[in-house]
This record gives sequence, C-alpha cells and structure tokens, in this order.
Amino acid sequence: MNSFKALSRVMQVALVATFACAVGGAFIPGSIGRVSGTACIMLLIAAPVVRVGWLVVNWTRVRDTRFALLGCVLLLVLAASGTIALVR
Amino acid sequence: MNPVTLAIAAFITAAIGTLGGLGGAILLVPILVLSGMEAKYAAPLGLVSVAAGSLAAAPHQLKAQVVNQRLGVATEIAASSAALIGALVSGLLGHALLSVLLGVVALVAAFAGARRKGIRNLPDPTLSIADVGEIPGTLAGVYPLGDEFVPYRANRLPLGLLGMGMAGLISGLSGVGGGWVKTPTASEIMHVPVKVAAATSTFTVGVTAAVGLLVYESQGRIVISDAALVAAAGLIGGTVGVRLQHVLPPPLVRRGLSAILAVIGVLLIVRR
Repeated sequence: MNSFKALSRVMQVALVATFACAVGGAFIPGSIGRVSGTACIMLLIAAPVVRVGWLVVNWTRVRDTRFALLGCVLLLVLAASGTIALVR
Repeated sequence: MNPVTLAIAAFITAAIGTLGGLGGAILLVPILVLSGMEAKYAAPLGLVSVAAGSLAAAPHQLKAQVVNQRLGVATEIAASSAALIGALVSGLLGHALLSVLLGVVALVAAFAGARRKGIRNLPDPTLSIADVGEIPGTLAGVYPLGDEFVPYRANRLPLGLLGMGMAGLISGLSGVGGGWVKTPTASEIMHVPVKVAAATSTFTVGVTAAVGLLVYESQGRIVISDAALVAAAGLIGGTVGVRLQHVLPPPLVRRGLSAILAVIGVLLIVRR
C-alpha cells in the first residue's frame, strides 16, 4: 500500500496559501488585493497539476509504470487542452 | 449579487459539491445566472468554486486514503480528452437542447442511485488499517468505514470510461464541471463505493477546472475580487463538505446525491 501523507502535507500548505491569497484578494483594495487574488487563482490552477505530477513521480518510484505512464498521458492531454484552448 | 450573498452561495455549493463529488458549479452557476449575473462571468466563478472545493478536500481525503488516484488518473484521460472535443464543438448544439440533455442525464443518474438499496461493498473483518489505500498496479483498494475496512475494485472499465468520456463531453459542451456525472458513473456503473467515487470525482474535477480557469484567466473573464471571495468561501465550504462526507453513512450520501441530482435535472429541463 502507498502512503500519500507527504502529498497531503503539500496540499495542506497549498490550501492555507490559497486561502490567505483569497482573503487578501477579496478584502484588500487596490493593486495588492488584485495581485493576491491573481495568486489565489494561479494556486488553484497549479495545485491539481502538481498533484498529478507528484503521483507520476511516486508511481515511477514504486515501479507502477503502467499508471505512471497514464499520469504522463493525462499531463500531456491537459497541456494540449490548455494550449488549444488558449490559441483558439 | 452582493458579496455576502455570493460568499454564502459559494460556501453552500462547495460544501454540497465536495460532499457528493459533484463539483458545485452545476449548483452555483444557475444561482448566479438567476440572480442576474451574465453567464460568461458566472461560469468562471463556478470553476473557481469547483477548484477550491477540490483543493479543500485534498489533504483530508489523501490522509484518509479514501480517494483512488489511479482510478482518477485513468478515467480523467477519457474525461479531459472528451471535454476538449466538447469545447471545440460546443457551438453546434443549441442551448435548449443541451439543457434538456443535461437534465435527462441528471435524472437518470438520480434514479440509478435512488433505486439501489443497502451497501454493495461490505466490510471485510480480516482487513486492518494497514491494508487501507490503493493496490498498486490495479484499480482496486481498501477504504475505512467507521471502525471497519471495505475492499473494492472498479469493474466494467470500458463502460466506465465511456461514462467518464460523456461527463467530459458534457463539461466541454456546457462549461460546467462533470462531477455530477462522474460520481454516479464510478458508483453505479463501475461499482466503486460512493464515498470513494465522490472523493475521486472531487480530485478529478479539480484537474478539469484548472484547464478551464487557465483559459478564462487568459481571456480576462475572471473578476478577481469576486473570484477571490468565491475561492475563500469555497475553501471553507469544501472543508466542511469533506468532514461531513467522512461521518455520514454511504446510503445517506447516495440518497442525498440522488435528491440533489433530481433537483438539478428538473431545473435544467424547466429553465431551458
């Protein structure tokens, strides 16, 4: 069985950081609030991608190559989706 | 919509979305549109709520090992690919037809969940806390249910992938997350326990929402102050939702999910 405690801690840090940025974006006026809110959105975008990346590394380490490859495919699909959607 | 009402709506929809693995956008976006917000600004806020709920649930669900990430990654490939196709052809379907299709899917999913009685996956007394988690190389695992441990295995993978692909297609076509299709697909088609299905769906909707948010951000469609408020409320709501999911019995979660899906289905058909 795998333990995902390390990933859980990473997500906990991301959660706290995102919440702090969200509160700043919601309640601090002016450019500081705008930067804080934008950072919150960037963290929300980055967190699941980091999570999938972490899983790929973890599965590669435990030699679960089939699922590590699937994780890579998912990252590629996400990159392709993002790129196609951005250039449309 | 005034900020207090927006925060309350985001809190409640994120809590319900995380509890049932629905994502929350399917509830929040109609509320925002009905309150007078333009759909092009409501949709990004819906995705912010989904991403916030997903992130809020992650630490707890990972620690409890209730989410099957191998299942999530395997099925998300189908969902994300189909979402891309759906987004590319989204102009071809009329809004009214799309609403009716979504409504029918929601009602079928509600019926499938409500029809079933009892618990499909029973605890195994020979298992211990050391067995909890995913089984490497498979779509199987063991999850904790109170003081007991329940083994499960995702069945009917081709049919499940088809369902997840449909969830992605719907997501791409409509702009709302597909969690409300993913959870019933994993639970009712693939026979994954509803709590694992909901937790896994909560993980994957966050992945899908990330791509959508990237696009909305690049298009300048995100009102930062509103999005930050929705994110803050969604993070709190998601944390509450995941705690509730942990303590509520699976049949109650399933029935509650069916009731919410039935309401969504009726709303989609009536509002077209």
